[in-house]
Amino acid sequence: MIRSLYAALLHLHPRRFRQRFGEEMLAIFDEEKGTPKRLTFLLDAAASALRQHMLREPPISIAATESAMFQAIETGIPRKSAVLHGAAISIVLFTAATFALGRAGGSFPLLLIGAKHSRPNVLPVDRASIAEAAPTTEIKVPRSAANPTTDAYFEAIRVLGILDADRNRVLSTREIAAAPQRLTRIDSDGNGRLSAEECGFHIGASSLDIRLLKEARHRFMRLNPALAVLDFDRDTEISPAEILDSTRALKTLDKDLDGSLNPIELLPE
Amino acid sequence: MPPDAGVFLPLAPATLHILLALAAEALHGYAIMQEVARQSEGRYKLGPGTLYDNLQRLLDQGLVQESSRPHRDDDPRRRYYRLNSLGRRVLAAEIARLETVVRDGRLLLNSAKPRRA
Repeated sequence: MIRSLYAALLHLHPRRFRQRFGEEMLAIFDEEKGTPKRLTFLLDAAASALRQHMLREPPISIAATESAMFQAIETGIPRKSAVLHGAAISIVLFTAATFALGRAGGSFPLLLIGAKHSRPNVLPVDRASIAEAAPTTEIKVPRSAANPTTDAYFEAIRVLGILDADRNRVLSTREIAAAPQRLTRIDSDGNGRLSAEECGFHIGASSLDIRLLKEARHRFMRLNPALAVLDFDRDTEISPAEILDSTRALKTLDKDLDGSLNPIELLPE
Repeated sequence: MPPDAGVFLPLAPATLHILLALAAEALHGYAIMQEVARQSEGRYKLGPGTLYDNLQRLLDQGLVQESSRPHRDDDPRRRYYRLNSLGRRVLAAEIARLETVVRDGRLLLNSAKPRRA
């Protein structure tokens, strides 16, 4: 039995030392059979094992001249079953860890990777530490024209209706540029000029006094911003010259200087 | 160019005793232990672990080398070791160093005045 114990202590030595001197040490142990020296040999073997591992075992090193950038302690290839077992254990442990993290919030969560609902004890966020910063990218969102009032206004003022080719209730730069050509389309009588009626003025009773009718036309042309800038000479008609100059005139309504005219800029205040 | 023996000095006591034991002839491990005990008159005893730890280092340093087995009927587990030329030069240098230490020590002791009680 004591010999087996000594052999076990020899087995605790590093492989290199054991292969080189193990048999000889066991032979010396056998030489002292029946003597009390064997007990001291046991202590000597235990101390030797510690000494060999702690002081004599060379560290794993990489030779600078070799091309290998790593060194494997074990060179054997694991069995397929061992690999499968390892994979299964890894999956179970990963699932358990994920489950434990999710359950830490108190309520029973779905088993999800990541956080479906943020919990302060999972991902504490100090919002005070988040510095406010000015946005570096400006995103222009077209103003919505889905407004019944705007639609009705564009339908009533024929000048706007004909200029708004894409019917988005915004006069784009291109539509403003095309104004001289498009305005001629509403010249119903073909006289080259756009009267208040051709611009959209309409009054039901035809028995209105001439003076009042003229005043109404004048107010109509003055109250609607687009007509007011187009009728530069305020004669309640848009002359051929004013039609030719319509692009420049319309641009004077562009208060925000974005190149287009939106309902805010086109509708009366 | 052979290495300078001085780089191995001073020798540890166990190393010195092992080299002294191998100075006369090639010995196996158990015989080295017995020879060390004999030379030191039983005051210095090596265990197998200490013996082979030192032997491993001496083999790696090239002071000792393995020798052929002199007797065919010997225990096949036994391996014999002997000093090579470097080991012999190192042992001689260590003995010379110790002689200097002994001589200087004697001179110092003889020149020192005894204190009166």
